[in-house]
Amino acid sequence: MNSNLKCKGLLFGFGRMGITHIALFNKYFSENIEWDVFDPSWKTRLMVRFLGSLANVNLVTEEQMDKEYDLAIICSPPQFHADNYNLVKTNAKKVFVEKPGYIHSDLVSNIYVGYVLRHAPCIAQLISRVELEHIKKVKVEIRANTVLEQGSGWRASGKGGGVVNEFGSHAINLAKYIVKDEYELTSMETEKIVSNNCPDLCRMKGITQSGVEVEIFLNWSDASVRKPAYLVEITRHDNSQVATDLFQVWNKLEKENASDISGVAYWENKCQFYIRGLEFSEQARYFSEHSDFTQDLQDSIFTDNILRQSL
Amino acid sequence: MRSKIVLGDNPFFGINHRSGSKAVEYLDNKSDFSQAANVICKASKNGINRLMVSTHADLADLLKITGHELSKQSLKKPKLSLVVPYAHKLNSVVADKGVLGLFSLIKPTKLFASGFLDFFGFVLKGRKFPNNIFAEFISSELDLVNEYEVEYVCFQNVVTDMILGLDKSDIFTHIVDSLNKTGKKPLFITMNPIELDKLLPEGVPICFHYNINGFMVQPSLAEVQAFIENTKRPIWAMGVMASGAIESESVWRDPYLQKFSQVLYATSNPQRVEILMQDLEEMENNGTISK
Repeated sequence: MNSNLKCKGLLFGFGRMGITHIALFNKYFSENIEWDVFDPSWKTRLMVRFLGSLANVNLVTEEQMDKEYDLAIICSPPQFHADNYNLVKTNAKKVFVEKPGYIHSDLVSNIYVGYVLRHAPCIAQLISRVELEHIKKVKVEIRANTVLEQGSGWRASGKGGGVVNEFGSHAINLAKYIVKDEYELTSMETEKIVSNNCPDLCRMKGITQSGVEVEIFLNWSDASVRKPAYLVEITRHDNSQVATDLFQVWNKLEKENASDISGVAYWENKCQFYIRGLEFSEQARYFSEHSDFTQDLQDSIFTDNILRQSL
Repeated sequence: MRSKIVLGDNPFFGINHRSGSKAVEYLDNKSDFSQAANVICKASKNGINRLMVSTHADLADLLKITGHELSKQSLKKPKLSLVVPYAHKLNSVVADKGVLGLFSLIKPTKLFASGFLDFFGFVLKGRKFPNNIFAEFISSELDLVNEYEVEYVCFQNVVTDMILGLDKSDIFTHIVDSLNKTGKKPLFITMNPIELDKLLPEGVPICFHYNINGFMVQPSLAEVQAFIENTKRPIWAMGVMASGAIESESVWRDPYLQKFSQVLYATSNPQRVEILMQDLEEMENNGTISK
């Protein structure tokens, strides 16, 4: 990070993720970012009037936007991503888009879509323990008690929300990142356990051209977990497995019983500034230090295509 | 060292920084806080009179059961260091209703009584920042624990670090001023102690991860140890056993740990509290650690 570099940033969507990314990029991109916020929602504009001065941001209209921004962050609900991207594609040097991308654009190198799980230190550990050609199957499970009652916000409304968009996009993208290959869905089932508006449980299966199996299980109305619980498991052709719950990584042999794990490692990485998890810090650092996100965007477009099939 | 111990509540609510499965174990046992009450009673019996708790949805149940057990055994209630806001509650409200939903956490009567109109004045007319708006947020949380004495109001690390990331030192000052008026002492929990120290008013305590393994110690063990060595600020340590990864004796012999004014210790096993206090007494008596 160049702390002396004066920068101009533009944020779309002054919500939880937008504020988080302002805080992170203030530390990783530049300490001298002057932020503009664009949000068409009257509720959010009112909120920016309230909290804008607390968060060091200025509310702008489309007409008031600058001709050039050093970075733009798109953290609006996903159904507005493409429109917001069109507003900055010619005047922002770098664009960060919160997942899922839903950017209908030619492949460009300066857009990064924030699939944060690939930056979790345990995922790097997991991948380092397996040769790509030995992978027989990748399983990604995400369970949470996010929606235990009928929600009223867009995340639970089915318009850009729902478990498939919210958690499924993470899982689809992570599986692609691990197998380094595209896969086709072979089956998908969804259920509405709590929400009437959108599915809150989903099972997907897929397969790559070379025969690597992908299995995804999502449930965001699971009362048996206190906070999001992850399991990412890679099975090799010899049926040995390596897995992570994002806290630790362990090897498991087929012949051993389930409780007999070996090679446990905990993430011990360090970061310059920490909010919400090391993966967020790592992602902010990655975005700030790199300028070509072509592969990440390809993975994001693949994820969008799978999501379109499933919604 | 014994007088510095603060009992933490993470194991009572299934929080473990090294295992996702603990969250599931907690839910298997959450209907029964009797084990947690036993831990708190054992702590009280052994002279630990501070308890750090989050404003978890089940906190009232935990404190009720614990209060009953303490009274049965004629033990003193611990003073609370109350962690606000409860991150998962905040997260759910914002996920469901947006940032504006945060105002739903304040009781309307309290909001209009003293905070809201001042806040309008601040936003629309450039008047002085209404310090009491924070007190109103906090007072809703304090209602959960009204049978206990709250000594410290501790700001949860995601909130602290978010403000830190937004680089707004004046918010920290407002929160401190606001709390001082209520008679509660402020404390800020952070994952970025060195950064926070630069912005926070002098003398306000901070609480952060510290252990000799460097597990979750940010930005690095060496930098944090240098900070501990030189700071005049009261500091509280959490995660000193790295969720059970470090042998007890190695933890307590660490000279850097002696510099902390309070040390959080958490367990779900009442016997461990007794063993810890006996071990610390022995180490104090033979001069291995200071009293």
